[in-house]
Amino acid sequence: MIEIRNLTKRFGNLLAVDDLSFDVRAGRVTGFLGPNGSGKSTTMRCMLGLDHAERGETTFDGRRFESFRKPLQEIGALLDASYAHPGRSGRNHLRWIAAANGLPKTRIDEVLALVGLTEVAGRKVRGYSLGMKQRLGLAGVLLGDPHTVILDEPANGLDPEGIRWIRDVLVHLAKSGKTVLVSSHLLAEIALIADDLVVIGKGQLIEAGPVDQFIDRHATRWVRVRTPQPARFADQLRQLGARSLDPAGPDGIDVHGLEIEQIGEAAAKGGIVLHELSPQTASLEDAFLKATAQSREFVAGGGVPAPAPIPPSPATGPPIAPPAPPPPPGPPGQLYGAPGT
Amino acid sequence: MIDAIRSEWIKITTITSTWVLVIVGAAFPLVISLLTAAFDGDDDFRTYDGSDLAAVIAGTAVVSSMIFGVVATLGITGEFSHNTIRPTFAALPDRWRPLLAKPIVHTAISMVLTIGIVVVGWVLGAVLAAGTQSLDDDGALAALVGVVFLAIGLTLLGYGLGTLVRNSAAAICILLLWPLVAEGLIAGLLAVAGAEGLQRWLPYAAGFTMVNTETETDSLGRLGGGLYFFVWVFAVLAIGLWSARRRDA
Repeated sequence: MIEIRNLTKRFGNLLAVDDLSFDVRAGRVTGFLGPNGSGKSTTMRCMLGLDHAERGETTFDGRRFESFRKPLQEIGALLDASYAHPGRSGRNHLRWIAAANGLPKTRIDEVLALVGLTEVAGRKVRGYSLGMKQRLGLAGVLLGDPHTVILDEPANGLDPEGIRWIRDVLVHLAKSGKTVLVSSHLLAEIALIADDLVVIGKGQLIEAGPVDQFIDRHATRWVRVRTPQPARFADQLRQLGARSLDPAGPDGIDVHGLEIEQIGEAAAKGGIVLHELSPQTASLEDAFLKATAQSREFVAGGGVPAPAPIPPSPATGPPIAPPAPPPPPGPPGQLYGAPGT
Repeated sequence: MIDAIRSEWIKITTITSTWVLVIVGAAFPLVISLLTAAFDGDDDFRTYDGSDLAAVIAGTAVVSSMIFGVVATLGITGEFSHNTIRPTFAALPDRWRPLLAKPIVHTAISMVLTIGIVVVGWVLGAVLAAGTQSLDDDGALAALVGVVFLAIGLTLLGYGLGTLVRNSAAAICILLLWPLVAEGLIAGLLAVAGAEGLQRWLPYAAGFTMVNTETETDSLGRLGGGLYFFVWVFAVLAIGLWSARRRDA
């Protein structure tokens, strides 16, 4: 288990990590998320004593990192795949790391085989692709068969097979009782492997806890309806009090603010044919973007034009509910007001 | 500490550029000595006594010492430029161990190679000059021993500068331009100012007295100059180590 308490790191006037505290539990994969510049990498470096924290401490099963004489058997960390001398071969890169902790040479061949680099182990690192460097970095992490694994963007540069491989490795490590902390930009990947999440923004903790809990709290939920009479049914749903109605294809409506049962009953009462009636939950990505909206340092301007709103049906006359105001600039699809949480 | 030294040994010996520099450094004095003997038209080389031969070896081995200093500089600045210092400290969290292991390995290499240069140079010179030399000749042994100490000093100085500056080009410039340019300019200025006596306190000038077969009367002498040079070396090394321990990796 990793315990981070009140970690604070400042670079000049920039407060990179601000009184950050969280736990990383054993036997689980913990995803470490945050927008660019949120302090993830700095936090990881401080955890390993590479950057000196101004305040606070990190303990690994109750011990500070600096107290380990041979840490590779306890903690394996990959902070950047490029941390290798380009003029040294992959095998020699692992040799010096293994020697630093007195690990046997046989272990080098084992991890090279494990990451699939045996064939190119004698080649200089400058000839490696980014994906091969990632695998080499992972081999270094696994050298000591550590109890705790810390990885910063391990899937960077990996091909789909490699991404699946790293996913399987991390899940396997967690299932064998190890503590796994992994940061990634690939939120879909994190959603597939993480049990817990730690989300930070501007160096501060936004949320820590199980992934499901995070999505429950931050992700939008709505109901998707498909019907051959979308305009007519949209009028009905407005009258029922739907908060917003977003088009979803030629015959679909994403309904916010009504329970699925209400929608089904309304369709039955109005004689509306339904081809689909299904609950929808936003992805981890959506939940992440929503949770970190106030903490993003860099936000792209402009956006994709929103699709046209569903017009009221001429056959049913003007809707009882007041027409929705023009949509504010925002993500596409939110045409009838902001969706609820 | 043994693990750290073994690790640093692997690092140093698995980079081709290090081998190239070391071979150039080791071969330079031998090649120059051979060329001196081969192109010695007046056959003066055959009349060299031990002091003369030691002067040739020591004079050329100074260049080797500087190259070994450059190797030590690159050994640590390469760690920073390629960011391998981070996995190094992640593998050995007590920074003293890797920070001391590296100069130990570099110094050992410099020392062994310089001893080799001196021994081979002397034996080769003795053969070519028909064996008329003795180590007892004026200052011969002292100069040859001084070469070994100069190599050790420059290796440690290069490493210290590298840990302090962290940039290969900047550290090597300081290491090489300090004796070749800066001290010459300062010595010139001191001479203009009528303060020639202060020239002896220039660090490299003091260090080079170790390799002279004849010591000038206004210098600090071999022992004094050597000790003074090493005070500078250890000062730079101490500041560099303190900086590397204290700063973010």
